Amino acid sequence: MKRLIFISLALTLLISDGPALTAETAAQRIQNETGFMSIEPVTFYFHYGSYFNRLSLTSSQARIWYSFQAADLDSPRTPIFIFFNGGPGSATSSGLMSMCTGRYTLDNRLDPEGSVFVPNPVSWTSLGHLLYIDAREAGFSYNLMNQPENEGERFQEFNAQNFNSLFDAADYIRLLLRFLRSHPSLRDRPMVIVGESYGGTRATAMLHLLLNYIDYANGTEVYQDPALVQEIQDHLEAVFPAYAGRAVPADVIARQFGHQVLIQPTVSFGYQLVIQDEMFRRAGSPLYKIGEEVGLPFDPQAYPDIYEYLRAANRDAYIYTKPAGWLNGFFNRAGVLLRTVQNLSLVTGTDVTSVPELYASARRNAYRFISASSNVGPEPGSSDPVIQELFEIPARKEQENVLPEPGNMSQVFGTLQPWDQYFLATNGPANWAFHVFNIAKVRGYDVHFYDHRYGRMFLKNLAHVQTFITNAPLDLVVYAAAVAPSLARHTGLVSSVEHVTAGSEARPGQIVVHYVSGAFPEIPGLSSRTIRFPIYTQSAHAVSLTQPLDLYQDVRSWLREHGIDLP
Amino acid sequence: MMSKQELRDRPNAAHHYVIRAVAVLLGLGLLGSVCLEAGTQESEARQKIRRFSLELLGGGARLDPAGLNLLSDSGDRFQEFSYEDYYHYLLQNRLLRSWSKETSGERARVKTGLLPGLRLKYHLFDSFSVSAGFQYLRGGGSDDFMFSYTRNELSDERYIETLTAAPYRLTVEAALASIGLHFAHRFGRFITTEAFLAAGPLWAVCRYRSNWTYTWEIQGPNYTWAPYDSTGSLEMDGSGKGLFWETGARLEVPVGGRLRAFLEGGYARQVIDSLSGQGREAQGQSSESWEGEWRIQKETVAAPWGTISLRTPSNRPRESVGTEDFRLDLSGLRLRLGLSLIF
Repeated sequence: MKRLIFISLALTLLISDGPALTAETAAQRIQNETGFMSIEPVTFYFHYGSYFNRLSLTSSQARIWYSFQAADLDSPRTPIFIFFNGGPGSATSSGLMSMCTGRYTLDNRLDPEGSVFVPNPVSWTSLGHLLYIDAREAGFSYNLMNQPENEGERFQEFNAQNFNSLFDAADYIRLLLRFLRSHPSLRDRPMVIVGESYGGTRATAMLHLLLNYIDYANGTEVYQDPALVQEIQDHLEAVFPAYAGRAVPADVIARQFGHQVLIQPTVSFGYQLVIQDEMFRRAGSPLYKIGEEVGLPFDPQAYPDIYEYLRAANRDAYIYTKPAGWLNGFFNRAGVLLRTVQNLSLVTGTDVTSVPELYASARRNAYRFISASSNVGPEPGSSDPVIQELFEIPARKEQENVLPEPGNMSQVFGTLQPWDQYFLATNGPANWAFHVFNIAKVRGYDVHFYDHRYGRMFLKNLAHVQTFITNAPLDLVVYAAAVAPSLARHTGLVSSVEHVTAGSEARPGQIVVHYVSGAFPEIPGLSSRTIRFPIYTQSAHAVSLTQPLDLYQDVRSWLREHGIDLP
Repeated sequence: MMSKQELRDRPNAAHHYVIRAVAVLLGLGLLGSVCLEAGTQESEARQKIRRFSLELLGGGARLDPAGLNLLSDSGDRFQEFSYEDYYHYLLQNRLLRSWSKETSGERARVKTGLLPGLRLKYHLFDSFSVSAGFQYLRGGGSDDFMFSYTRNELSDERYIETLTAAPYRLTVEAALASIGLHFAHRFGRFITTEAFLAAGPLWAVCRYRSNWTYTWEIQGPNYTWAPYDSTGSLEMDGSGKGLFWETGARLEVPVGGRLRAFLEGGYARQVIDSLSGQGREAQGQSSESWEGEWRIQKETVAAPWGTISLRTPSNRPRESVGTEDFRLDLSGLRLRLGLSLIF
């Protein structure tokens, strides 16, 4: 049966692999594309105002993996959706790309085990072009170094020079702008940033970098990346030629980068964690309901770590009505499936054997993790529940789960070095580098993703960027009810934040942010902004997997209401 | 507080001041010499045979180029801010159990200098002579230093941050050419005292060199990790010219034949108002070089745990930063020993 499904999918691929259906001429046709974007070593620095005492860091060369799926119909105003998952260190390819956004997907309704990719009836290619990007060292992306065989050297690669929230956002901007530069017909399209989970922080950092780009080279911001700023300037001058040779204002930049769809996001992560923990411990919280259902009453004193309680109750933190590991099972299965050439070709709509950087011969200096015997090393010892949860993603099992049949990547592309790997759903050392082995954090720079600067950045972005956030109350990892209160904690910027639950939509919900007068002096007259906040009552953290049609419809309606031309 | 215009005018003002002082002293010297001439005919006859003396001198200079030493002051202040103040903040917020510090050496500062020189003196009269001289001044030095902070984390791990700078070098050099006026008075048969005034041009250079290594080590119950280390260097050079004057007194005694020994001390004003030169910085895999005028650059450091203002001299050109004039002030007391050969 599976073989039949595979053959039918392969035939479909043969039909669809090629020029997408567009209104353009053959010469201008926009096609699916899969590959790697090379990011050269970049020198950037952190500072608190002293140029002499800045922390200067130089990244390693990276090959960042992307998959571009052309829209079903193209017009000069067809938007580009830029997708990424979170972690940090988690793959987009086994996340959003495999979960009911592209043309092929795992679908928990059609195939509860997630064992095969099937055509997606609600492909977002009907809304626009899709660009999926795996973060540095996540998914298919990999770094290069001299002497990758040296484990001590590899250990030092997993640090702030390659992993911090601002440089990570800069990676995405670099890839995006270079992709647009090489596709002139797409260069001025409206962009819709779609981030899931930690992807909310990444979207926040990306948009702040883009909208305030001058401040990232003139010493104003803590992160200084002059090469990136030049690249942004070049892009903006191409899109807005009237601003050639001068700084482009944020409201003009937002004409292109003016929409974000955030799925169960971290937007002010530090406050979100504190607030959701308080909420979980209040009487009547989901944990008490779980206790009644499973006969294991929740005792806040006995479980200082609420995720420990969820494990004891055998419930999935990402959707507490499901058994433990339910959602990670999908991520993991997607990762296993994608490590065959056939499946990856099917999902991306391209022939991945034509991607030279996938071949072992092209990646002799590549590395993916520290210890050649396991993905996760050194062992995480953090008591941080989110980190513990992240490390539960069975990356190690993934290595044992390479499909044995012909077509797995080792057989097609060659055998990799023990420290390299074709695919990692979540790169534990990369995540750990954001968290612990991070020299910027140790030296006191408040750039860790729990720091409140990201909440402030989000609130500033919100002045220019139309924003859509999902509200999936069954998700206890990013508990959506904590989003509005977390924004309200930024009392220097906002006077109040309302969560409006009523509305005429099928899935109503809004967050209304009221700013204090002069919150951002450079944005005069800023008084309030409204975030669309629809509720998905049956959804896991991965809303696109569990309520795909609802999310698709809500995003389509919302984009239409907010100035995006959709078919 | 001097205005910028006044600061720009300073070299001219100093120049005029020196010329005026030299002229006044020359006049006084000639007047004194005429008065003494009648009473010294016998001595003059003797000195007509030997009017010259060649002097070799060497000694020390007390220096305090505050502008240049700001480099080390600024480094000390930022270290205290970014380590000690930061750890204090972490302690207050219960993010750290405790911390401790070890140090050795300190950031070098220019405090003293060596001052060898050569002087040719022509004795117009017994009590008055003129001279031409050359001196070389070298000050500052190399003082390697190390600091190491140990943080006892809440996780029971120890973070050890160590910075070693070897060398950390801050030096000045100056070449001084001078003409001088000397007024002598003999006490008895052996001892001669002298007052002198000298002035002339000087050429000076300052150099900063720092090669550093930073390591961050994590010590756990049964493991030690080294997640990060980095090396770097910063070099900045400056050169400029100006005018100097020096005044002082000396005591001279014969030591045999035509040789006399002397001890002289005084005060020298040696200020260079404008320096420029090359610089180079390397850190990790990146490096940068530049050329520019030395300025004192003013920075405000604002971190979550506090704010400090730093004034750091540098020749690295920067836009959008407040600056002040930088002066290399090598003025100070001088003490020299020398030998004088009369011929």
